[in-house]
Amino acid sequence: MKSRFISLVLVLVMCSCALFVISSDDSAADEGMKEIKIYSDNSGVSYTANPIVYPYSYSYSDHGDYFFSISPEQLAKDIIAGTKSFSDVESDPAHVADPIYNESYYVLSKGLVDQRYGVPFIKLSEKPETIYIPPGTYSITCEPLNDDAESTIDGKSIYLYQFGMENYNAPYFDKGKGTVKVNVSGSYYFCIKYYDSDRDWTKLSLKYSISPLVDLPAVTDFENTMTVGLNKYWVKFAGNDPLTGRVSTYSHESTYYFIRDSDDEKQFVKNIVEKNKADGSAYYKDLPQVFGEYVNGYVLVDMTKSNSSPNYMSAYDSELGTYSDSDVTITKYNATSSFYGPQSFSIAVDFDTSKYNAVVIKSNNLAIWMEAGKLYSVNSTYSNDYDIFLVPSSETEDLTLAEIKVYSEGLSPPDNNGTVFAVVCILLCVFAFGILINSGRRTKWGESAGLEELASVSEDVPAEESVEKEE
Amino acid sequence: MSRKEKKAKKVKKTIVDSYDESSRDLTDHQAHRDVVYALPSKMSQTMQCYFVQMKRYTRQRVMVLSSVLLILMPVIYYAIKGTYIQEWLLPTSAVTNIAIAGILSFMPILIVLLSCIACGSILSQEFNERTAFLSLPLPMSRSSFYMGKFLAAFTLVGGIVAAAYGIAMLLTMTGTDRTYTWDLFRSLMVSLCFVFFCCSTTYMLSTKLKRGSTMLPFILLFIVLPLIAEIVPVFFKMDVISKILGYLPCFGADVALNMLGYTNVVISFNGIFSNFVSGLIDFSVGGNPIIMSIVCILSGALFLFLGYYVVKRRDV
Repeated sequence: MKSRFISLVLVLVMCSCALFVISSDDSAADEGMKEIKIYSDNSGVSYTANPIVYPYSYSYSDHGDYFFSISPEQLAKDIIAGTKSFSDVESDPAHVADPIYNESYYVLSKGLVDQRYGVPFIKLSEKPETIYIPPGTYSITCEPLNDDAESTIDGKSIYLYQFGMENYNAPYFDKGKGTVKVNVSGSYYFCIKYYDSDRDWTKLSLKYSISPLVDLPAVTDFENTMTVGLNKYWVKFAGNDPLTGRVSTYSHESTYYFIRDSDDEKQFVKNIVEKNKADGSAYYKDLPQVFGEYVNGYVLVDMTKSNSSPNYMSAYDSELGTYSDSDVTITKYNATSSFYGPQSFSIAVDFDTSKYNAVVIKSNNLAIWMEAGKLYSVNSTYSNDYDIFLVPSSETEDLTLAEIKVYSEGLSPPDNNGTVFAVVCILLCVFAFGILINSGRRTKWGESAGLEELASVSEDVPAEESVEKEE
Repeated sequence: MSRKEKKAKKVKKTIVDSYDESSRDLTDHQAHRDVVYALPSKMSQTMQCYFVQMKRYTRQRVMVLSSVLLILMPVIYYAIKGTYIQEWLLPTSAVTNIAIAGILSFMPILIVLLSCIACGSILSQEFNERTAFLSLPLPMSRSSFYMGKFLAAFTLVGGIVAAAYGIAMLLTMTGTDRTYTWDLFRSLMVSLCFVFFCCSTTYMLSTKLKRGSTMLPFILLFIVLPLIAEIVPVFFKMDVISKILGYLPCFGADVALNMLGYTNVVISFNGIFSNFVSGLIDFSVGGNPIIMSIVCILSGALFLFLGYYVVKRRDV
């Protein structure tokens, strides 16, 4: 009797919770399209965005950072002149043990350099940022500090001597542009040999750019390569929906390619890694989805899923063969906001069409290109988080905040009643396990098949009892 | 008069009537003469069988297994927290529903497995141990006997599923800031409907099998039915067939998880199979939870009725 009472109470509680939830859902489900607050911010229906459009090309730059080396001859002169001793050099063995250029150059301690040159100094541990380069043929360019290939530091004229990639086997070039063939993948950094007017050797890292020739056969200025961080990028291919586009990103771990097939009117996005082993052999393997959907000529490249940074990205359209600056654009977009969408809902957006081409909503398995004022029905296998991206028009230079109005049907704001759900679940569990425990207390353990309990169904029948007593 | 007759006459005279005259004063009510005795109602009989079966579960492995699994949930969650495994298994999201979907990704196999253990030999065991031959002749209906046992199994597995949802909710509440409660309730509802289907199917099979089996219904529900549903659309390239098969009740747990959100790993046949042959087979489970719930309940009820038909016709 007691258990029945408890069960009844539990059932009533559950019914109350269910009614509460149902009633709350009814209040949220108004008919028709409505402007809703998707995200729990205070701005209501307006969303702010600050799309950052990266330059089309990107050159790596290290202006203003110096580190110095000194030739043995110069060191010998100084020692003979008594301006310093070998102990000064050996005072920082780590520097001495780490020749930065080749065996004939050594880095002096900061105090010594300050004393001699009176210019900023960075330690070797603060070497210029290295990049990981797989084997290939690369072209590098160098721009001096000034157009005339000279610069002046503290009154001393600085002359360009050589530039190149920091590699024992890599060649160095006198000026301008050169081609470097890399046989072994590894980390490289770029440096430039200078000498000053006193013939003191210095070495500075200056502006440079690099592009792999193997992947960019038609490009000589290598302007469509950029460094990319751990962000999401949209890459736009020119032309009318090219059959095959390719985006390559290079990182420490691997090289990613995006290849789009158009057979059977289905778009497959393939991630292929070309990873070079120590022995030089390459292999291909499917990768996690660094590349996302292909929407209206754009492919989403999600570098947040890459394990390393920096990455270097280049893009070209292999179908077009040649291309100009407008053929490929790599643009970084910030996700302006996000919302949780059920498996089916309708959505429309309104935004400033003079500044933006479209809004893209993107989840793990779906991306929809949305134009202003049109209604889109979303039917997905999964409920999911959707990021909202702005796609600025090509002429957009205005990076001011953008506003998007979102109208939807089937979306609802979060109610954050998780505690109610947890309580209901625990009550259901308590109900089930309570009966289990209670059933064990009601009867003795070890009875088989509950025969006694079944017999007790009829124990209230006095006729049988009287018969037994008479017997 | 003979000697014997004289002796008997003497004894007869000594007999004293010791009947208690006071008992003759009892009313009909006090003497229970106006009480009509009858069998307990069917509901009482069903509840009695229900409690008896629940008691039996306390001694069976399903109870231990379910308790261990529920305890393991938070243990594993905190063990893998911050590791690469967590990033792979559990999606990072500010939405509680998606986080719960990651934790409950094992639910499809767990529901089928527990249902098979709880119901796979529930009736055949009674007949093998001959206890059914003692129980059924008792003054009770077979339908009560049949339904009581089924309800006990359903309560047990349903309680475990509800507990898993509740624990997942408690685990994710601190790390997320947006909860869509109604979707959670709908997912729980679909899961419970799927439990009903699995229990009734397995229960029906236990009425036909001479010896109970856990493996047979598990293979049927977890492998055979989903495999058929995924392969048939390859040969019949019709969207209608594919959509209909997507609502087979064996995909109930997938639908419940899909409602919550996308996860990298779902331990169901569809989740595993689609990872291996992604792109080759164009099949997706249904997306409407109401339809899936109705299908689960109707098919479960059908199997339940078939099982009852078998039990009713069984000669005891």
